[in-house]
Amino acid sequence: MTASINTALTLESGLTFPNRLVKAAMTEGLADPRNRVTESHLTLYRRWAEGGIGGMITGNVQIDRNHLERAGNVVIDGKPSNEEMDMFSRWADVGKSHGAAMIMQVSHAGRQTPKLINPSPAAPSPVALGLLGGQFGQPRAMTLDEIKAVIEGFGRAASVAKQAGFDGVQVHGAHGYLLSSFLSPLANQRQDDYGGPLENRARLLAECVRESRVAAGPGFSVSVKLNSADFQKGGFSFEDCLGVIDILNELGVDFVEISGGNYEQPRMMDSEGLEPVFEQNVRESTREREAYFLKYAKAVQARSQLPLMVTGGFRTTEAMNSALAEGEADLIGLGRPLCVEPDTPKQLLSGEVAAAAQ
Amino acid sequence: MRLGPGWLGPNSPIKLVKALNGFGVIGWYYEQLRRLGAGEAPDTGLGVLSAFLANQKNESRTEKARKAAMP
Repeated sequence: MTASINTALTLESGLTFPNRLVKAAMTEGLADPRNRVTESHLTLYRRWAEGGIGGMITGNVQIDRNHLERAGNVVIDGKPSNEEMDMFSRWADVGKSHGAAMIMQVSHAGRQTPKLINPSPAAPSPVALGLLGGQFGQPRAMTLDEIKAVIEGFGRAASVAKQAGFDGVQVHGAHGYLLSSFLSPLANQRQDDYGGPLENRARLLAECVRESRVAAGPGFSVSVKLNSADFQKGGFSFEDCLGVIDILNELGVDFVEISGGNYEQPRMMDSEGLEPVFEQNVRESTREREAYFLKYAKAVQARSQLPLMVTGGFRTTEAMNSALAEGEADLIGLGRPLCVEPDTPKQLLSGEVAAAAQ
Repeated sequence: MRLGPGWLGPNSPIKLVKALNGFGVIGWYYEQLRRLGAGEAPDTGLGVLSAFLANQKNESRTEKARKAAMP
C-alpha cells in the first residue's frame, strides 16, 4: 500500500500514529514559576488534539532547572509530587483525547541557556556562543559526575513520562542544546571519552537513549531528534549525522526526527545566522526545497531502516504525500502552521485545503 | 515576516538588524502559542517588532517570578 498522510503507522515499540502528521516540538513557555505544567498547556494541547493531528511531541521538558531554554519550560529534576504527577497525566490525557500519540521531548539546554537563567551554563567545553547581544553566558566544561547526572536525568524523565501516560519520549539531540553540542567538534573540545572522534562525541547521546529505554521499560517509544548538520564550517556535518544514525540504528530507537541548525545558524527556523550557511554536499529537487531537510532524510533512508520524521518547511499535501510514497519520510513534522491554524491537520487530511498556512 | 523592508529585513547587512529579525519572528510564534494556551485565537496581524518587545518583557518577567519562587 502506498503511504499517504492519511495512512496509520505502527512503530517497533507498538506505538501507532493514526495518520502521518505529527506536531513537532515547539517551546511553549507556559510553565508556572516553579516550572510545572499548567492549565494553559492543557488548553493548548486540547486545541491541537481537536485539530486531527496524528501525534504530538511536547515542547522541551528540561531535566535541570538551572539549564532551561526559556524561563517558562517544564522541568523534571526530581520525583514529582502527587499534584505534579496529576498534571503530567492530564497533559498526556488531553493530548491523546482524539487519538493522537503523545510524546514528551526531553532536553538539557546546555550553553544555549540564557544568561538571565544561568550566567555560567554547563557545556562540553568552555566555548561561548558566537552571538550578538550578550544574552548567553560563558559556559564551563562539565565534570564526569555532571555528565552522569545528565544521563540519570534523561532516565528519570522517561520514567515519569511513562507513569504519566505518555506514549514515549524524544531525546533532544539537535539544535545546539547540550547533547547536540557534545556532537559538535566546534563546541566539544574535550580530551576524554566524551570528546574527539564521533564515537566519543556521540557517547552522551547514546547513553541518554539507553538510560531512557531502561528506565521506561518495554512498550514505550524512545526516539531522537538529530541535526542533519549544524551548517557551520567545522561543525557537526552530514557525514557525522550518518555516523550517529548507525549508532542509533544499533540502539534500536523507535524513530529519528531529522532537523538542522542551532542558535548560531538557525536553519530549523529557515533563517541564516550571522555567519554564512556552510552547505552540505547533498543533491536537492523542487520538493526538497519546500521541505528543507528532506534531501538529508533521503540520504539517511539509503543508509538505515529507521523510521524518519522530517520537519521543516512542509506545507503542501502534494509534497508530503510524495515524500511518504517515495519512502523519504515516514512521518511529516508540522510546527509553525499549527501556531496560526490548529485545525491544519484536519483540513489537510480531508482535502479541504491543499496547503498549510505559510 | 520581517521588521521592515530592505535593510530592515532578515538579510540586512547590519548584523544587529538581522539578529533582531530572527528573535522577532521567534517572539511572534511564542505569542501565538501564549494566546492559544489562554484559549484565545491567534493574532496574525501582530507585528514582528511588537512581538519581539513583548517577548523580551515576558521572558524577563517570567524569570523574575521563577527566581522569586525558588526555595
